[in-house]
Amino acid sequence: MAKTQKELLQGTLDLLILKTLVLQPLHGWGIAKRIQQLSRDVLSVQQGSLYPALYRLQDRGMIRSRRGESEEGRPVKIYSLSAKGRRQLAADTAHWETVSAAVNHVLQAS
Amino acid sequence: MDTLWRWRERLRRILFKSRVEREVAEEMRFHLEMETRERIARGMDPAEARRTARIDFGAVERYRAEARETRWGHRWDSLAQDARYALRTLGASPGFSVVALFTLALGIGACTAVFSLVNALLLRPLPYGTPEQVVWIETAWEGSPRAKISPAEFLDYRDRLTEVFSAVGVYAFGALNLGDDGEPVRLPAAAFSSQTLSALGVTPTLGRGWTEEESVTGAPVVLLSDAFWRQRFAADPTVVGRTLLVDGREQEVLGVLPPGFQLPETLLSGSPAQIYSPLGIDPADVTNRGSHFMSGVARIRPGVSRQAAVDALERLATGFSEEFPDAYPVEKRFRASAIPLAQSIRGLVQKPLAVLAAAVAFVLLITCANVTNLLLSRADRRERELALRAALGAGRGRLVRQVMVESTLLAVLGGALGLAIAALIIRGLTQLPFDVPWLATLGIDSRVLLFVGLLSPLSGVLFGLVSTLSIGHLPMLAALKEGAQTSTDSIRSQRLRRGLVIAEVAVALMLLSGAGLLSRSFVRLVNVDPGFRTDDIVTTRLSLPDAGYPENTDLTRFFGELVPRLAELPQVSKVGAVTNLPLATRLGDMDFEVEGRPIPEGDVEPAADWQVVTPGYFDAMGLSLLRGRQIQSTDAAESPGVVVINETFADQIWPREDPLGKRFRLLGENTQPEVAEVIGVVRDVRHESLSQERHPQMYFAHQQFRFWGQGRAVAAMSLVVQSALPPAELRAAIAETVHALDAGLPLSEVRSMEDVRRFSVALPWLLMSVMAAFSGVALILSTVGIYGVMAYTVSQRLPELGVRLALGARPNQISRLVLAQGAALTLAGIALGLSGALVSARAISGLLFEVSPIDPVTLIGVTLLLAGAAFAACFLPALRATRVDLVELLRAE
Repeated sequence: MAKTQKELLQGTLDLLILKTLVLQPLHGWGIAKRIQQLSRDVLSVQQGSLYPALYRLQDRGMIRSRRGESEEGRPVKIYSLSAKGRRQLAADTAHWETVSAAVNHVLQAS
Repeated sequence: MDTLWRWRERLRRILFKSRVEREVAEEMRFHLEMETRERIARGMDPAEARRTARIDFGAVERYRAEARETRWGHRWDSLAQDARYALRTLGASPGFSVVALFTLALGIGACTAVFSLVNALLLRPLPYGTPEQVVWIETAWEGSPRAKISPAEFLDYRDRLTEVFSAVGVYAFGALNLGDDGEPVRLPAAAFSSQTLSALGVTPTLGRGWTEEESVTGAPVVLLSDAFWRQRFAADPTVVGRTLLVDGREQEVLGVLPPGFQLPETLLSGSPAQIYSPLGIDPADVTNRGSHFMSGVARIRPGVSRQAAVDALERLATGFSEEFPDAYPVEKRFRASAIPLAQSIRGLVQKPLAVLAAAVAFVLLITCANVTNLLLSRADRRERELALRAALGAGRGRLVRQVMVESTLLAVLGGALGLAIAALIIRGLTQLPFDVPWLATLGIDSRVLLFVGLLSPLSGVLFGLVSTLSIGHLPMLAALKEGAQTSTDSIRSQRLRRGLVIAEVAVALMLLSGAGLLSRSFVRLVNVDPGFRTDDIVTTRLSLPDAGYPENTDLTRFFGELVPRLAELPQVSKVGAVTNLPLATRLGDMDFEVEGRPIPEGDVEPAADWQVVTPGYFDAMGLSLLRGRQIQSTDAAESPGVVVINETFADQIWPREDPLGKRFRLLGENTQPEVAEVIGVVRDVRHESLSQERHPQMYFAHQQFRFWGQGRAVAAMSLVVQSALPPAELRAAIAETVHALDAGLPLSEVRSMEDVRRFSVALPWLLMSVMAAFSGVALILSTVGIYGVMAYTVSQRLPELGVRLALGARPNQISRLVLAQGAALTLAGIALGLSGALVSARAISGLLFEVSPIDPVTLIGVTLLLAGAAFAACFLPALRATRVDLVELLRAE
């Protein structure tokens, strides 16, 4: 269980990143925009948290990066999901669903 | 696949750090641009868009830092950063750095040098197979605590202990003449029995060893040492089977022994044998139980415990008293023991090494104290800086790590310097003209490097820990607020620092007094009158081989002709010959019975050290005749036996009578002269060493003397030639005369008597020099230590002193204040050191010659020396104290 606020957010952000990448490999900015888009503008990821998360995921082997080109042809780093990342995504998703359901139950109790 | 990629990435991050950083920066920039573009697309003003984008983005540096920190390899990064920073700060305060480095280098260097000594002496593996299984056989009886083995005993040990020993070998040392093509040369040699090689677990690299039969029948075979084979035969593999002319006889080379092989005694001193011959004990010859002249080694049978082997040997030996009561009288308490080889070799050097180790420990202590002091002072001074960093967010852990990295770096640098110093010391040691083979193996090998490699960082960590003690306790904020008066200089660290300096001074005093005592002792030793003259005398050894001189008349004729011929040479003023050269050899003794004083049953016979001389010896050696006459050429084989005795002999045997004309009988089968008449008394001679006590000695005529047993005349003598010429020039003349009589006879050990005498005090000289070196180092270090503490104290008290000056105090009052403080420290240290010296007096007394271990002259002298150095150390800080400019000081606040 995550212990601090920061850790909670981190865990969630990781999950979001992984999910985003399962659909399509993207560069950093693209990931931020996609999350914003998919969450219907509710979640806007701060750059300060995005990149550390990306590097952390890279270190743990969940995602990989390669040199690629942006839409205009600028050199940019493209991230993609690794096999380990895919497995982690499945696990984290399941975990999230369990937890959020539990939290909901608690909140709905009067 | 994934893992591979991960590790590749990590490597990349370390190896191509700057490139990776650039990529990150690039990424951030791209993100920022896209964000800006989006805002512009939404309708914002471009400048506004850029600004807000950047604000939203936040402090890029911060994110980069955070991004960096989450990455693997960051720890190493920051360590490297700490190291770079440490180097910078060390460079910024050169005074401190130089002193600290110098101190560390000296301390670590000294320890490393001593460690390499220990390494060469004790840690090197013995040149034998599985040496743990090899034991040294030693016998002992009343009056002789460490004796060798006799032939009959050897046979018993070999044949009756086969369940515990798989091989038993004996050997003895000597020298042989090699008379091949070219200059005849005399080689150190040894003879050993057939099982010796297997006892030591050694097999020849070429050829083979000899069988038991070959050794008993005295087969003319030899084995060569590896070094000799390389030097004389250029490592020619066909040397096996060749014949050499050894001692006038043809011998066949049976093989070559492995490189580095030596018989145990020569591992520590003496020249290793270059040529080996068989030592055969004929079992029929079993009656000789009394000649203990061989050393013995044995290999424990695999599967047998060492204790069982030791017990079996002891039992057998003590049983000899019952088996052979005539040869082993019960009162003599004959016994034998088996000592593990490594242990017996180590035992020989334990005492001097212990003293050395103690000296090194002391120097290390002083080094540690000094550097710790330096670091403490520095830590105090850096409080402001550290407090600032703490305020900026560095955690305590980070600060501690920073200090540790700094001190470790310092220690490692100091260690590297120390290694260089040790290398210098070692080079100096190996240049010494000592006849010790292990000295050549002294050097910096992997084990020594490992030692330094471990010692340096460890000491660095140690110092760092001590100096970080103060970090956590600082009232950080208070430190920031204060002005130039930085810290509240905790009482604890003050006391610690003072205590360290006092301890330093004490230890330095002990070392100095040790060195002083050893020096005085050495000077006394060197100035001892040996009883004979040593200047202008050249000696050389001549050994006549059996083959060329089968009869006694051949031997007596050779020396009988040689000495007068040499005397006729214009360069020679006096010449003679003697069996054993003083200060270079040991003497054996012989029992005798004084005429008219029969020895009662059970009493011990009187004995005296014996020498055999030619006419002219006493004059050549400057031995003054006290009474009677010298040995002359008229004392021939057919004339009545004569003997010249020394003072001690006369005092012991005929205390209040005139010894001239008195006679005694030599006990020992076939010894000649059977009855000797005292014809003269000479001065005593210190034979074995300059510190030897007086022994009774007797001198026989070469013409008349015959050994016990075979009745052989003396075949090996040392020529003593008095001449104004040095050995190198005289040698040719002597060689010519000798070779006119025998062309194949080598002159060995041509040297001056002065050299012989100097060599005999080599070991005390070495000990004294080492002690002097260490105490010199200690003196320097303590002086530096005192200076450091005083300088720091003064700098802390500057404002106070400045105020005093402003209020009217005179400069010399100020300096007196400072000096008083320094004096207090020094006196405390000296008091402690003196008591330490008194306590350890007993330990060092064994090494001193005619000097008391609490010799007041020495103690007072070194005290004054140390006090003087301390005063000099306080001088500068005291001077500085008087130069305080109060106005400037206030301005700096």
